[in-house]
Amino acid sequence: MIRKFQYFVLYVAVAVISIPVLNIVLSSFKTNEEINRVFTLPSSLQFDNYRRVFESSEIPLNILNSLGITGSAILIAIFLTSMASYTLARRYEAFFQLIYLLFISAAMIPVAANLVPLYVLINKLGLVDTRTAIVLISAASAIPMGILLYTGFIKGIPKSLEESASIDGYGKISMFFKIIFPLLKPVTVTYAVISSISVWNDFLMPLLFLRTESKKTITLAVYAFTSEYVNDWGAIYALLTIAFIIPVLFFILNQKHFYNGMTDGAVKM
Amino acid sequence: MITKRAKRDFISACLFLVPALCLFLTFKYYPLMMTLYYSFTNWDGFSKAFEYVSFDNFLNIFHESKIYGAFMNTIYFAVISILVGTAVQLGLAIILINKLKGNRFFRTILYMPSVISSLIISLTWISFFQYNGIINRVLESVGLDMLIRNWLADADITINVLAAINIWQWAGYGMIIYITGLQSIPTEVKEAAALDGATGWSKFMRITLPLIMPAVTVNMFISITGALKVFELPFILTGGGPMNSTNTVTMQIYNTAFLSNQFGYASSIGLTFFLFIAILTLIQLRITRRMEVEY
Repeated sequence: MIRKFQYFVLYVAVAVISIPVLNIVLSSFKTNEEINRVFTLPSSLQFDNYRRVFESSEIPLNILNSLGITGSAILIAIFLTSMASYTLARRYEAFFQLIYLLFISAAMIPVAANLVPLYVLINKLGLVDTRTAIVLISAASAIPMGILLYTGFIKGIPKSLEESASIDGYGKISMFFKIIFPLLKPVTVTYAVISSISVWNDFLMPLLFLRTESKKTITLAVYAFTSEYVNDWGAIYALLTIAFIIPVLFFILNQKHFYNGMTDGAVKM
Repeated sequence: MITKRAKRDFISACLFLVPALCLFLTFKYYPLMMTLYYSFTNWDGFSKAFEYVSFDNFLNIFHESKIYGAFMNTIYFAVISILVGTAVQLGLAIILINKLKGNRFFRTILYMPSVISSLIISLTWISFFQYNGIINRVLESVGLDMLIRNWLADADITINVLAAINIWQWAGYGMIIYITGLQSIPTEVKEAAALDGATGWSKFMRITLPLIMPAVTVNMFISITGALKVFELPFILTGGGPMNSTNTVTMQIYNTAFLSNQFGYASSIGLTFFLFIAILTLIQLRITRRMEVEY
């Protein structure tokens, strides 16, 4: 009896979660007249809406921008945070503990609080309407999570390993890159997977800084498209389908890392 | 010699920190300092000259009903999201902790919305909540006409609609954190509780809940900071309306800075917002940490 109730709840939850998503996918194949009839199947599998999206926008370019921005930001963040965490995990002086706190507590600073000075700073650096601006800001925002994950992980690596490497004549820097960094692979993968989603999905920073159509990220391009083609719902649904299928596929292929990220990083906060 | 080596070690340890620290100070703490500075000025964002206005901006925040309202709306949105959200997430987690058939499938589907951008989620829901949208049409076709509402343009309910969408999006995310917490409860504890005759509600309140408090701590932290920052939902679905009932703090800062060109004023709202989030999360961390038990 309880079992049946549990399954009932789960199926309702699955329906509530997936109906809006399915509605988008189905509608993307409907003609604009058919879209008004909800819960019907499209009369035929036509790709007209998709064709219009590709003709009237630079979606492939926008997707490439998102890939480039996300990839660069995450690479920078991995490099910087793994190095910093190596120090933070191995030194116990109050000075380093303080820096650790400085990194972690920044998670409480909302982007909105810094909106004005960020805009001024990017202006001064001459980075308005450049993808570099988004890369730098996104990398900086990904740092607290990285410090949290890496510091925890490195603390679990026995020190004896470094002692014997130092007897073998490794210096600090070559020791980090040749011995320690390869050992960090599991946590690096987890970190890359979970932070890339938040960089990919960011909307406020691209909205603030990117103007040129060909430089926009996919999320910003969706926004620009919906405000321009207000009445072409078929095309909007097609674009929405393209825009959400990428993170969803990425998630399905990397599920394990998403769940691991929660257990490794979040819960040990 | 030893001190020389210690010194060298200290310097190389610092060198490892420098790159991360540079980027971080430039894009996190330097802007925060500048927010503090601008918030005492009347800068419009363009003029070379501006004046020091002492606490005028901060006094205005509490007198201008629109901004005061934005804080209230944001708090209301966060409270509803967290209360209802926690119940939904925990409920789903408690069901999925049992070895049910299709466990993986359920987890995957439920987690999915949290990897999609809030902007896309907002656009997805428009066709449901607009006046001639799917929800009202379904209500009409099943004869529940009295439930038909102007979901996105009714000052009394629109903020709740936004909260519902937020809860919908993050249900699976919190659920996974709670599942992790529930799985970490040692079997001996569960067996001992069963032997002592603990069942149902009392077992949940006295055994399960205290033991998953670490997961609750984390989840609350993520939900509070996330819900308070909400921007995309009102930006896309309502534009802050009707009658500013869904105007949130982030939207208010954005509009004050870039629509009305009041950079100084926007900074003071931003600083107030930061202090507000910091104090709130510190209180939350203290309370939930204290409720954690050792076993």
